[in-house]
Amino acid sequence: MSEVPEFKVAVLGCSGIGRLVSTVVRQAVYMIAKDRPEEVEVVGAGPLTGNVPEALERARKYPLIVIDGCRPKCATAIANGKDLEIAAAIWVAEVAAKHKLSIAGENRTELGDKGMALARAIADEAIAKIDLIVAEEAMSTL
Amino acid sequence: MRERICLQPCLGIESVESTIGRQACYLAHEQLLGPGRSDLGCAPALYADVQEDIDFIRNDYVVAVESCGKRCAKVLVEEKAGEVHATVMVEEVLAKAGIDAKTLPREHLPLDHPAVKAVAEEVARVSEELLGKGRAG
Repeated sequence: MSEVPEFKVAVLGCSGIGRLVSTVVRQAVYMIAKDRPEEVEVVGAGPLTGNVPEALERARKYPLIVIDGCRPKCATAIANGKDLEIAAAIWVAEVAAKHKLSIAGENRTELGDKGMALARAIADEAIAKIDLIVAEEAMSTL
Repeated sequence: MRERICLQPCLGIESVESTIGRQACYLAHEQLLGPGRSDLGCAPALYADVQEDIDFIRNDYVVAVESCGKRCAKVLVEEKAGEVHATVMVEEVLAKAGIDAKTLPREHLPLDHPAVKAVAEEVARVSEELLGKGRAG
């Protein structure tokens, strides 16, 4: 019997440091990795900007979901700059508006309930997209 | 003459060392050095040519905080025509402090965690050296 090729979805969060929202994105990526351990390949912004070949290879090998924190949309900029095809993009402001979530008063060094609630909402949006991409792939191979 | 420190962590996400390095930069920036003398360099923003981050690496002393030997912070700073003036290797600091990072969660560590404090103190030490050299020079 032939081996079924491994199929995953790569996830790239902006994972910056300056703004509170980057901490939220970082936590969302960890939630995604925890909830979909078999389906997801986390790709760090650091290794991509550091031109680590294995990270670039993983980001190229699988459909890529990017999660952008603040307005410069740095995760998207990294993907574009490294010639990575974006399968889906999530922008935190859009998720916050959709779910009417505010993170005012939260601390970028350690999230409280409001920050974690937004991280959860972002993770759920990403997981819905991941599940769809995985399902489409599964259907296409039947 | 450079009068400030740009703290430039690698900002990986997969290893606990990268989380420790990121948290250590917050501690060094917010408490040990203070926002009056330091800036937080954001790797994704620097890659995206955000002017503030370009200015940090052009005008400040740059301290790279690297979570592994791939030295991603250095690679990026040099790609953007900056210079790294000092490097803190998280793994080395933790080994010296006798802290086994493999037992720690990669998701989050508070600023008062011994691993974060050890790295932040080393970041502050090398930063003070650079600032002292700048004043003397």
